[in-house]
Amino acid sequence: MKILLVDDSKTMRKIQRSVLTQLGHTEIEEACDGQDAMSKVGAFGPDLLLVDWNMPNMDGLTFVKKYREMNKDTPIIMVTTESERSRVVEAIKAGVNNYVVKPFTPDVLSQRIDETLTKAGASAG
Amino acid sequence: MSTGSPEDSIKATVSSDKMTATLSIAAGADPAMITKQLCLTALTDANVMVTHEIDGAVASLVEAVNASPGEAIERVVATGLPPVHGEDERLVFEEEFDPTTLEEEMHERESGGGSDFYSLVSYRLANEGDLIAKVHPAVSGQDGMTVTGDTLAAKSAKPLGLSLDDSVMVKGDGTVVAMGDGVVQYVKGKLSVLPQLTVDENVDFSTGNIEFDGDVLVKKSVKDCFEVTAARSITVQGLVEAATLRSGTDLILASGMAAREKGVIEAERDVKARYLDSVAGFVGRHCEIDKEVVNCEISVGGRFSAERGAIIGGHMRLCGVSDVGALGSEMSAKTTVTLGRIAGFDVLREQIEELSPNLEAALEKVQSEHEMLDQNKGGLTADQNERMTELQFKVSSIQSLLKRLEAAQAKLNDAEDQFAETDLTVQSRIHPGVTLRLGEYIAEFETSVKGPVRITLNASGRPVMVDLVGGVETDLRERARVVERESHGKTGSMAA
Repeated sequence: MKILLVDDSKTMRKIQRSVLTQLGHTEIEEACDGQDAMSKVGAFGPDLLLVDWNMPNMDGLTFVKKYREMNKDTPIIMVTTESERSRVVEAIKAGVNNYVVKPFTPDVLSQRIDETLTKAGASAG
Repeated sequence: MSTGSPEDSIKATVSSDKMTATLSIAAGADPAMITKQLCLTALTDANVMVTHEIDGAVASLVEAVNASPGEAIERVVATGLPPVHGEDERLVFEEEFDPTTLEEEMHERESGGGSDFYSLVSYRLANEGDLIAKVHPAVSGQDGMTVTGDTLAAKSAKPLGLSLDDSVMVKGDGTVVAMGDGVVQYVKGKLSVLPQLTVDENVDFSTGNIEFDGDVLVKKSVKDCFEVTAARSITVQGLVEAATLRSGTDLILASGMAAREKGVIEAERDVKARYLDSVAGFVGRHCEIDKEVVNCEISVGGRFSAERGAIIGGHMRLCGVSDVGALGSEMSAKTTVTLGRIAGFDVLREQIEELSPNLEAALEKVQSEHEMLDQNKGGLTADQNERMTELQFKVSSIQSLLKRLEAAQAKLNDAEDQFAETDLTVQSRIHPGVTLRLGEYIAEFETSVKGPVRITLNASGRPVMVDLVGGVETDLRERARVVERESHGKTGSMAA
């Protein structure tokens, strides 16, 4: 399974990559903001995206809206902070499938990924 | 114009090798007397075989005479055909596998100066599937002929007489491929890739270090500072000096090893040696010594046997059932033998013991920072939220590592309980100065003990000595000063 991590923080990407690797995922690509992600989705063709909300150049919400114009099915998990929790509904309307609030533990991230993939698998089936 | 006879005017000569025939027309010869027929007659008289080509050359000569009447003319009118010799069948090695150039290469490197003499290579190694050489087929020759019609025989092409075994294969295009890993050898027309490397001389500056993927046999000695590494066994028939020997299976040292505290042996399986002196290393399985083991630091994973020999000085770690002639020396040489502990495990244990506190300290530090941030959880900035996530990740990672270390330690203990034996038989004598470490106990012998005796741990884990003549079992503390490991050097003798 191909997973795209979109986050301007290298540390966060490293954490997410580590959790995903522990879960057995090895095809992982990284993007440092929404713009970078837009340039990579075509060639990489992810099966899951983890997208941070606040990023320079193109924030997560804008990216999700643009991405959904060309891809309606690939599941997206939004990574938010407590202060952005109130805007989660807006993100879900934009096409986000699940979200995880920072700070999160590796277990929580792992659980969210499992949930999201299970749901996506069920709806695809 | 000359008025002589045609014979005087036309002269045919044949070179001494009979490869050319020359016609000479004398100066002043009457052109009317220089006819083609007379010229051909002169050549025939000189035993030249007249061919169509000669006929043309003579006609051309006659034309030249008529064009320049009276001039002396000399022309080669016939040329013999030299023989084309056959080309022998030959074997051309790929440069890196060519054993025939080794001697020259070694000489060049030795005389070149500045080389790493220890890394000189005196053999060619091939791996399975390597293209090592090509057989070029013989090309047959063609006979030649002199101007007088004699045949010049061409040398016939000789076959190579190449002899092969199963270790190499010749493909349809003549390429020779190694069928396994080994040393490329080409001796008296026989090409093979030998799975055993035989070093007929000493391993020294003439050979360089030896590294081989199969078995190695050294017929003479291994000199100071040289290394022999083999994926399979190593057998050394001569003496091993302060060298390093690493064997993937067995190590046989027929004449022993005198290493002056600089020698190393590493054998994944068994070691057999006449004697070992000042050697460090490990033996994966069993170790059999004919005579003494002197000042060595060796771990033996399986049985240790030196029934007619002795362990004198040094520190031997014996993991399996052991049988030795004598322990220590009459001069009370400080000799330590650890029984029933797997040396490699001790190293791992030490690493775990060092690592655990470091990880725990790191965990405490991370948890402390995490707690501070957690107190203000509702009002954290975006950066602090990220830091919190990072800290939680670190906590999780460190906890996971600590769990793995704990599991590893438990596995080490289980494996040691399963595989290690605390069982030593001493045939003749245990001398003062000997220290035995067994289980959690350390026994120091201050007086001599006569053998044969067997030292082991009894059912309750206490060290005991069994007199193998009378069959009497006694507490080891009756024959030696015994202390528990933790209290060694602090509290004195073990409590009864």
